[in-house]
Amino acid sequence: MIVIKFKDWLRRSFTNDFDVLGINERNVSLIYTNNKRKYYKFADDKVLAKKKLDTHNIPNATTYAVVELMGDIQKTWKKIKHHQAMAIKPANGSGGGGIKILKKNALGAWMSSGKQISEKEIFLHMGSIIMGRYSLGSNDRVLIEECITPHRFFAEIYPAGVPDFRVILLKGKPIMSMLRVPTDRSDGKANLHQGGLGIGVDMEQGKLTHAYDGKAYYDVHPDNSKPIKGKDIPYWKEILEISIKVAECFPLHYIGVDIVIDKVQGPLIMEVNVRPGLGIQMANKNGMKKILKKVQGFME
Amino acid sequence: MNKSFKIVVLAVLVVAIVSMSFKIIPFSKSLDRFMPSKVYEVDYNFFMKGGDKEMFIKTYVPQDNERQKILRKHTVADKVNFKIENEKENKRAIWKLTKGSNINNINYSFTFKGKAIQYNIADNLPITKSFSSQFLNEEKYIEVHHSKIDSLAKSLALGKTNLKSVLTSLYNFVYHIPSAPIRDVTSAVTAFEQNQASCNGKARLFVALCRNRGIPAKLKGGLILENTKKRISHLWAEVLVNDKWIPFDVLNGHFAYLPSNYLEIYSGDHFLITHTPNVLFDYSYEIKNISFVPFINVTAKKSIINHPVSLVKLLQSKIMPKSVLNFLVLLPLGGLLIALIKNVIGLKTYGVFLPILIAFALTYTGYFTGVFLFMLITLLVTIISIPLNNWGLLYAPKMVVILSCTVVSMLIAILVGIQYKITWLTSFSFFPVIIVSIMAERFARAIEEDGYQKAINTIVQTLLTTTLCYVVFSSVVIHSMLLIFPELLLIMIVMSLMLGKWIGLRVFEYSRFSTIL
Repeated sequence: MIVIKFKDWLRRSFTNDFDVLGINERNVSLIYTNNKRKYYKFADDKVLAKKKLDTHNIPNATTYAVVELMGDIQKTWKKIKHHQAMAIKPANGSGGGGIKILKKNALGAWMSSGKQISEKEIFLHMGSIIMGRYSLGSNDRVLIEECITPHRFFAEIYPAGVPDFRVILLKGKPIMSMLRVPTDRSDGKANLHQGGLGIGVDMEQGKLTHAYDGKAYYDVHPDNSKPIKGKDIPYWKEILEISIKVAECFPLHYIGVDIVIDKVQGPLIMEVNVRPGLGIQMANKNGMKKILKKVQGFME
Repeated sequence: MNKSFKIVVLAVLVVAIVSMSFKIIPFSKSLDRFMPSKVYEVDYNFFMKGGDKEMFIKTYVPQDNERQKILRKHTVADKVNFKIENEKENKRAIWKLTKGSNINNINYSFTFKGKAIQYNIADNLPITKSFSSQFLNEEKYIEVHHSKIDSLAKSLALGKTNLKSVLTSLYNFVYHIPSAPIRDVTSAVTAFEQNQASCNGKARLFVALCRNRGIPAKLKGGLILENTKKRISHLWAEVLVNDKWIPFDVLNGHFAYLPSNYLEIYSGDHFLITHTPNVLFDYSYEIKNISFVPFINVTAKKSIINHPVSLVKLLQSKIMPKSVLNFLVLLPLGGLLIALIKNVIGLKTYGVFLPILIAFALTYTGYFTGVFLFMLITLLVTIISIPLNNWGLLYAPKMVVILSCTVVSMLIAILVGIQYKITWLTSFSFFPVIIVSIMAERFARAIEEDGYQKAINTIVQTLLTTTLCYVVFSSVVIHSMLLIFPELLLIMIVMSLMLGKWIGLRVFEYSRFSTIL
C-alpha cells in the first residue's frame, strides 16, 4: 500500500501532476517570482502596511497610537486610555503572537482574556513587544488600534472572537478565499493551525460552502450546530473590491489579504500576508493550481 | 535566468565527472582491502657499546595476522651480520657485531596497519579439559600447580558450567587486582600474594589460572602503539577457545578484544630483547601515528597521494587536524541531506542545520550517549523555561539565564564524571551544549505556543534527521570517498541547485492533502 502510494507520489511529483499547490512550488513559482524581498516589509510590518492602506483610502481599523520607544509607553498610554476598548499588537508579530485585546469592564478596570489586567502589566507587555519578544529578537514597535466589533453575521456562526476572511490574490486576481472562525478548542483564535475552523467560500456566489477543522468537513459549526453551508456573506462584493485594491497598491503580486467585517464600518483590512498558507485548499476542498494557471505570472 | 542556471549546472557537472574519471584507474590500483583503522610507523632503536668482544642483539619482530599487517620492514645496520630466525610461532631478528666493530646504533623499522577485533565466545561452550598441550604446562613464572593457584582457580570456577562463565570469573578476579607500575618480572603467585601487579604479573596470573582449569593459555608480548617514544612493552594473554586464540588484556580490561593500536610481537613467556651481557645497552621504540585514508594503501605511490585534486595529501600533511578536515567535507553532505529531508520529505526540525552539528558531536560521544545528553539538556532547559516564561522575562536576558544554567550543569556533570569515573558524563565536553540549549529553548517556547504534541513531534523529527546525518557521518566509506574524490562536493552543489528548483509535493503534504489530490 505504502509502496504504491510512494510510486504514485514520485511519478506525479516528477510530472508535476497535482492540482494542489505544495509549499515548494508556492515558494519557487509564486513567492520568489512575484514578491521582491525588499518589499516584504510592507506586509510583514503592520504599521507600514496600515500607512500604505491609509494613503490609498482603503478601510482599516483606526490606529490609536504607535509606540516605538520604551520611554514613550506611559506618555502614549495617557493619551489613549480614555478608549473603551483597544487591541495591542506587535508590528512584526506572526501567527497572532503577542496580540492583547483590552476592554474596560463596568467599573472601568481593564480586562484581557477574561481576567483583570493592571496598567503595569500592560506596560510590561508593550515593553516586551518593543524588546522583540514576538519578532524573533529584533526590536519592534507596538501598534495600538481600535477594537473591532464583529458584524452579527459572525455571531450567527460563533459568538466569540473575531473571525476574518482570507483572500489570496495573484497579480490582483482573487484566486481563493476562506472564512476563519474560532472554535471552543482554539481559545478565540481563528487560525487553522491553532484549532480554528476554515470555511470554504464560493467566490462567484458569495456564499459559504463547508467547514474544515483540520480533520473533517462539516455543514454546521461543530460546537453549536449553527448553519454554515450556503450562508450568504454580507458585503462580499466590497470584500473582493477592497482586496483587489490592496493588491494594486502593494508592490507584492502574490498575497493573502485578511479582512474583518465591523458592525458599523463594514469590511476592514486587518493584515496583508506575503506567505499565505496552503490550508485554504483544504477548506475549499480544492487544489488552487487550476485557478492559478488561468492567471499570467504563474510559472510552471 | 533559467538559461544561465542550466549552463552552470551542466558545466559544474561535466567538470566534476571528467576530473573524477581521471582518478578512478590510478586509485583503484592502490586500493587497500585490509581497511585498517590505525596506521603507525614503528622504529626499534638499539644502542650498544661494549668494546673488545663479539656482541649480539636478539629481538622478536612482528608478523602479519588477521588483525595486523606489517609492511616496509627495514633495518639499518651496515657491516653487521643480520638474520631473521623462525622460532616456533615467533620470528626473531638477530644482529651480530664483530669484534672491534665501532658500530653502536642498530635500527629496525616497519609500518603497522591494525584493526580492532572483538571476538565472540558462545555461551554454551563446555569446559573440556585438554591434557596434552604445551599450553597447560607449568613454567618458571607461571606456577600452574602451586597450591594457592590451585585453590584460587577452583574457588573462582566453582559452580560455573560453561567456558565463558569460567573465563569471565577468572578475568574479573585478575582485572580487579590493583595495578602498580612494577618493572620487575612478577610471577603468577607473587602477583596473587602481593595483590598488586603490572601487566606482566597480571597476565601470568590469568594464564596460570586458565591452565589450572585445563584451558590452554599463553602469554602474548607486544607494544601499545601511541604517538610517542617509549621503552615499555606490554604483556597480555591469549586463550584457546574452539581452536582459536582469543586475546584478553587483564590490565586494561579487554575481554576477548584487542584494540587497533596493539602491536602483537611474540607468543610465550620470553624477553622481547636479549643481548650480550655486561655491555652498555640502551633502547627505545619510536612510534608515529600516520593519518591515512582507509581505502588507499599507505604504501601507494607518491603520485597518487599527491594527486592535485585529492585531499589525501592534506590529510597526511597534518596541517589540518583530521577531525576538522572530516567535518569540513561532511558539512555540505549533511546540508544536502537536510535539504532533502526538509524539501522532499517535509520533516520539520528546530534550526535548519542544527542536526548536522549534533550528528557530528554524536560521532565523538557515541550515538546513545549523545542522544541521551541531548534529551537531558532539552529536559533541563524546558524545566528552567517554565518559571522564566511565567515571570515574563525579556528574551535576551532569559537566554542568558538558560545558557548559564546549562553551562553550570555541564561543568558539574563533567566534574562528577571525572571524580567517579563515569565516562558518559565526561563526554559532555564534546557536546555542543550551547547549540542544543538554544534549540531546547525553542522547544520550550513551542510547548507554550503550540502545545506538547506539536512540540514533541518536531523534536522527534529533529532527532530523526540527526540520526540520519549520524549514520552518514559515521560511514568510513563516505568520508574516505570525499577525501579521494573532493569533486563530490561539486556534485553536491549540482544536486542542491536542482533541489532548489524542485516544486513537487513533499511526502508529508501528499498525506496532508490526500483527500483533495
